Amino acid sequence: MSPAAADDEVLGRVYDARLVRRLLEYVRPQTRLIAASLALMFAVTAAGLVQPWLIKRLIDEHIVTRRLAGAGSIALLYLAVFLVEQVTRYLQLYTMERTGQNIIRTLRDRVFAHLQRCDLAFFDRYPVGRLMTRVTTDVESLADLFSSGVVSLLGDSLKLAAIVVILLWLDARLALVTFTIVPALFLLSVFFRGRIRQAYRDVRRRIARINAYLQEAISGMLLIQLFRREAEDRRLFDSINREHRDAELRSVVFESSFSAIIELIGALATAAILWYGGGRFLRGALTLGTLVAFLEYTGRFFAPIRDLSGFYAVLQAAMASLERIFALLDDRPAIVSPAVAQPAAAASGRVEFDAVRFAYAPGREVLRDISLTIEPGEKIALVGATGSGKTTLVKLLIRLYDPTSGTIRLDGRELRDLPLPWLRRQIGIVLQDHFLFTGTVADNIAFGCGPLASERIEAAARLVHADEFIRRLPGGYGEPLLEQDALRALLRGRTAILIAHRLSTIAGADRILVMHHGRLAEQGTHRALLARGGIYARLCALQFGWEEELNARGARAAAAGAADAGAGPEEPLFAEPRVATDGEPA
Amino acid sequence: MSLLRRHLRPYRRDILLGFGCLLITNALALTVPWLLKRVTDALRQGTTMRTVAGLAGAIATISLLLAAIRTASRLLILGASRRVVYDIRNELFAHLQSLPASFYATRRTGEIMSRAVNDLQLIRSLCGPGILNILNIVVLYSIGLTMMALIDPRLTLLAVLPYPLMLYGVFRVSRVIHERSNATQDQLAAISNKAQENLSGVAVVKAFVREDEEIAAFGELSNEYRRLSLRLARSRGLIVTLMGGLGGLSTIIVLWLGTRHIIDGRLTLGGLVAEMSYLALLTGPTIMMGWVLGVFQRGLGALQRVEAILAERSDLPGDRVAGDGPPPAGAVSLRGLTFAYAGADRPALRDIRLEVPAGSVVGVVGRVGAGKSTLVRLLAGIHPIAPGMIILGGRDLTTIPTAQLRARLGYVPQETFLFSRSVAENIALGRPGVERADIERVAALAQLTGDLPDLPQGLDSLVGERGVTLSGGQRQRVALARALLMDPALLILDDALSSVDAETEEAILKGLRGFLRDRTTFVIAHRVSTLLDADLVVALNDGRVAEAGRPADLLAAGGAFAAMVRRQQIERELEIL
Repeated sequence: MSPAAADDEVLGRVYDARLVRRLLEYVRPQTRLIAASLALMFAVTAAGLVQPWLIKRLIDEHIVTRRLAGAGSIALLYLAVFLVEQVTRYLQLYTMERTGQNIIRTLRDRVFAHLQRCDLAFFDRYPVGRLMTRVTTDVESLADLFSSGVVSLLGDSLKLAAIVVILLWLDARLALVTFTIVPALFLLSVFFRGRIRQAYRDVRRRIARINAYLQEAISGMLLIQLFRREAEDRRLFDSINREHRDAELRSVVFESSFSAIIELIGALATAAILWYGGGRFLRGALTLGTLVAFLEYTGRFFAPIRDLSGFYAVLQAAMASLERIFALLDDRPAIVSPAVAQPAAAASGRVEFDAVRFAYAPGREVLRDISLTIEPGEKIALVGATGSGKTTLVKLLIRLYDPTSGTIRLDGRELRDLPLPWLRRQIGIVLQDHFLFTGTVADNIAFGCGPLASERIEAAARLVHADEFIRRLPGGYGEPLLEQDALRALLRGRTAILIAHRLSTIAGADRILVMHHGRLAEQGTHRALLARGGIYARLCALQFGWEEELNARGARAAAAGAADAGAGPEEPLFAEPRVATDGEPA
Repeated sequence: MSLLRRHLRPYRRDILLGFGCLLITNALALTVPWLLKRVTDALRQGTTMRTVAGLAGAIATISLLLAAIRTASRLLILGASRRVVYDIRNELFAHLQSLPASFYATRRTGEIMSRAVNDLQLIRSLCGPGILNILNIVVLYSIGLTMMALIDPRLTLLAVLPYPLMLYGVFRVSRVIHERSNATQDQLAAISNKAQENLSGVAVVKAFVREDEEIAAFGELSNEYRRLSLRLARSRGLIVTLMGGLGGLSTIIVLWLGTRHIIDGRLTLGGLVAEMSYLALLTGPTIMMGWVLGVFQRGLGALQRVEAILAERSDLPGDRVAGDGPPPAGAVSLRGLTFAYAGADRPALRDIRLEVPAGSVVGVVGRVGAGKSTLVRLLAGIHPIAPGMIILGGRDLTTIPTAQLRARLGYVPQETFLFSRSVAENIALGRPGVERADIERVAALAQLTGDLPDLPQGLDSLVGERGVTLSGGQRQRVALARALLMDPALLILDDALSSVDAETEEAILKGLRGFLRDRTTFVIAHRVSTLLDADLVVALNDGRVAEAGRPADLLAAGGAFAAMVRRQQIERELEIL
């Protein structure tokens, strides 16, 4: 299955050596941070475990014997160790977080950069939403692996091992009695962790359902009201709301009992230590200090066991995300820049289509046998109805797609043999189904030409009469813009293919190509085509009327502002899309 | 607050019982250190094994009871908080249903959702863990400190010295954490938006060779996110250090002073052990308290926002009149209808006068913004109007209860909205529980029957993201069937067939002829030619009636309507070519 199609919900293997090896590639640059984190972790663990031992000495050597001399130094040592523990813990947590953030940042940037290289056919196949999950959620779930995962795993294991050794050293028999709680503690932790995770997942799933329902109910509220659906809708919402509440109540059961039961185990351990250890003390087999130290060490058992019991889930989620991320990174784009030197000179701009055919999906041809030649510097207007293939033609020219058959050449060289960025910089185009970035006017005009001085942008805008229009916008040149006229000014002196919006543009073109059902149906000058009385002449008749309407609308919008703001969008009666918009799959 | 009080009332028994359990729990918990003291002192004095075993057994027994009652107290109080939130959410939802279009026009969906989801989570924390922890700390402090003082008053006083600092520190830092966590989430959202924008516009990025700039821009956002995450991690680390540090400080004070007091003979070893366990019992709730103060702050804010929405009222005259009665008949009379949207400086409709006999088909044409949609929206009672302007079946629209007005109203809005339910459920929107045969009948009228075999489960196919993707035309026909099922006296088609192809549209209109005979229909049509059969055509221009009359007369007059029809003929020709 292809990467993006893999189900996001499926959790894969918990440990996959191949994935981990690849991840190491990202971990390696952080070696120094990791080393520091490990060293700090040793310090934290040691400092934490020395404390009960100091208490034991305080009791046995000073309290029981009532000897104050030397007690002060033990107390000072305790204070020092304690401070070291606090400071190193802070540093260790931070170093660990930093390691993780560095790694996932690299990974996130690499995923994004990879997506920039994927070809358009790839984006036709995979919904944007799913790709977004790779860039955000999947990468994020790796953060847990680093911040609460690997290093903590080592730290916790180390801590547990150390406690076991210390307890055995202090009093082997009491230690063995104490250890009897460990399996119970671990099993219960695993059990509750699993249940709580499941319960929380349920809660999240149901809150998501509430979200989805609300989203829809609020967006469709008018319909609910117009169709008097309120009561029925309340009933439906209530059932979803109730399901969420019940899931919450289930999670409350585990939440409420988990900590109580863990506390209970702790108390039972205390009772056991007191009972067995007390007996040994009475027989003189151990000191009071040892007994208190046992109680202290046992208290430190709990946190690491609890954390360890949660590690499995973190690892599982991380591996599933890693698998999806790497699968995405492995997807090789079909359209890549060939390894050739960039031509020294700019293209003169001779474009040839030779028997070009193209289909987005097999069997559904959008372009059928297109052959044409455009001379250097020539200005071409592409005209045609929705779905006639205008936009596709341009997409092939800049190699957003490769033709199914036939060849396209620029200055006599096949497109596949030209460096991709170079090729795309050579041809000025204005795409119809334009997606403009939510930038500012200045950004949009400068698009594709690198940074430009703002005077040049304004000059360009004036050229296309956009200047006045832009200045009227509340923010002037800083206003976010959804108009693309201004781009055209930058096409001067280049081979230009315009998908025409307006009659004025068409009239200014050297040649007009009329597309119809994927074929080149008519071509020639405005005059010649009008005289011919074919498709173009009819399109013009429509355009003319449409343009009148458009102008009227522009003038009114400027004058009236948002007079109709509450009315909801209204389509023009004679929808311009028929002629002007291209609805091909983008 | 009154909202909360009102919703807590039904659960007051649970809550009181929970409080009782909590009290017992804490009392029991506070006996354990006392028992520890007795064991230690007994051991110190060389007691018998029997005593030790008895005390250890007592600890085990009490702990068992403790676990059970603590679980019960949490179940009761946390459970009540979940139920309260469920009730408030239902109330909020019902209230949202009563709010008019003007409410929704001024608020984004996300904002309303945030009230019904996020704010309710905050309220949940306020009345669950919030109340629980406050109660906990009151009981623990009052009993615990007394017990500690009984053992060694000076030691106790010095031991709790760091506590106010801990409380204040946690409160302050948790606020910083809250802010930083929001900032980090916002940055993550910015990354998402950037990715969304980039991936949706990938063709443009490539066409203009913007890949490197995009990667750089994304990298900047990504790095900023890293920076913010680390900043958040620092304050999280700080809170851990603060908690551990101040808690540990208390332990050190007790340990050092305790040792001296023991040596001075003012304290027993058991007393020291007890003091340390009491401290351990107090530390957790003190830390929680710092967090709970923040929960209270945010919870009260959320409560205010939810109450503000609940205070909103409908501005529709029809929502202010009550009463049962038949829906209005189909005759429509517009008497100088003038209307302006709130905040607009020009009216959307001016002085519209029109008499429409029941059973007529009225075509409404005009440019974008001419007021076509506004006109039909007013007929459906979506916006508030002054009395005397619209008369439906002889009754002033402002005196008709909204529910009555819409009982036999069929409305197909310009923007088709289908719910993520089955096709049948979408059709039966206004008539839940209707007979299957009726659904099939209107589906046939809307020319949907032919499309059903192509859908995986026919009428029962789910629509939307998780189901089938219907074409624009299919969606519009579902919306039409939905309106027809209302058995409307007044049917409104607001550009309702724009995505339906011409042939199907013709078939639909032909099939509807009989259905429409005794109903009043307002049609805003995409293809003007379909209005040639209308009884009346009204051309609007800039909110006024430009021309009105029988289609044939308007064609003959050669005005705006005639021009529209002519242009559409050319379009047709092109389609055929």
